[in-house]
This record gives sequence, structure tokens and C-alpha cells, in this order.
Amino acid sequence: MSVMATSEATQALTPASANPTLKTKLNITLASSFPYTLSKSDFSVNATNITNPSYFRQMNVIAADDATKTLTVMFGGAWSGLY
Amino acid sequence: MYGLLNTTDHVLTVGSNVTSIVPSTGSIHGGTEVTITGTNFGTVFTDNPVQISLNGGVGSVNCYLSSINSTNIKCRVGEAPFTYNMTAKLVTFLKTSEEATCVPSTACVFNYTDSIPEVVNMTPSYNTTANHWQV
Repeated sequence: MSVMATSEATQALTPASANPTLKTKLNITLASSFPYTLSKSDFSVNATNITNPSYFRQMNVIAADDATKTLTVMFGGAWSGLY
Repeated sequence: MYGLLNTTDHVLTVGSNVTSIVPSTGSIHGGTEVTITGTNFGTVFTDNPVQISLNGGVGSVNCYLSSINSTNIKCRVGEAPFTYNMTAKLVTFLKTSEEATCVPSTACVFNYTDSIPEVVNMTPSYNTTANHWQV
């Protein structure tokens, strides 16, 4: 497996907060200059707790809009904290 | 070829806050409807049960929900299991094991009072149309 030397940055995360126990759709926007076509099967997304990185929650990628360079993922809930 | 997106500029805050309770005082006999304001509440009644926590949770009193949306919960406080003034904590549960955070910490204080409204004066007048006294 090879990993790209440079990484692209996300431009926005909306909403920026979520209820710990309710499912919430999150939109992750990438730069319009992102050089690849977005396809949801190409992405794996998880929320990793900042203070305890060993605790993370996998999120389903439910849509990828290449026109707006936006990924839509479903956050399924996690303990309160920053991720 | 694999790559990582740099997400360091974007943090997802998971949690729910209570920022105020209005009114924060109600009768020990119950019946006070309080409005809880905060963030990230659920939108169905069973999402966020509310209780008045007494003595660290022992003998807690339910607050019966009448409406709920993502920022406001209205509930009617139940009768206290005592007959004196007491300060308690109103707890908004996040469905099961977690509680909403009180911001500031005093935002969730609820005061049970044993003072009840009293009639101190009244002036009846005679209603000639209805032919009876009214207050």
C-alpha cells in the first residue's frame, strides 16, 4: 500500500456539533480544486476523539457530490467530546 | 494509492448543553411548566427525558415533557417528595447514560419552594346584568 506524500485539506464541516445519541448527517466540504472525482466508495470516514484517539466512531459515507466537492456522512453517535 | 484528508481545522463537537431554565423556581406541589433552553436536543419526546435530581439522584422527580425541539424543551415538574424549600438540579438526559452539560454550572439549578400563592385581598362587585356578585 502506498500513501500520497501530500494531503488535501477539508474546507468545512457542517454542522460542527451533534447530539451524542442521535444520528446526524454531516457534510464535509473539500476544496474546489480537489484534483480527483469524488466517489463515495473511495472514502472511509471516522470521528476520532481528540483526547483519546483510541476511541473512534466509523461513519458511513452516504453521498459524494463531485460538483460541490462535498461528502455526506452519517454520524451515529458517540460519547460527548471533541472529535 | 491512498491518501488522508487533513481535517485538523475542523472539529466535531459532540454533546448537548443546557443554558437556562425558566422559571427556575416552582412549587413543591409540582405543576410548574419550565422551559429548558440549550443545544442539540432531540426532536421526539423519548430522546431527552428530564428529571429533578434530589440527593444525587435518589428520589428524583420526573419533569413531564410537553414539547421538544433541538433548542427547547418544555416540561411540567412533578410534585416534590418533601414539604420544604429545596434547591435541586434539573437533569436533561441524553436518552440513556449521558446528561446534558449545564453551561454555566448554575444553569440547571431548580428551586422547590413551599410558598404558595395567597389571596390577600379581593373586592367583589355586583354584576347587575348577570344578577350576581363577581370577583
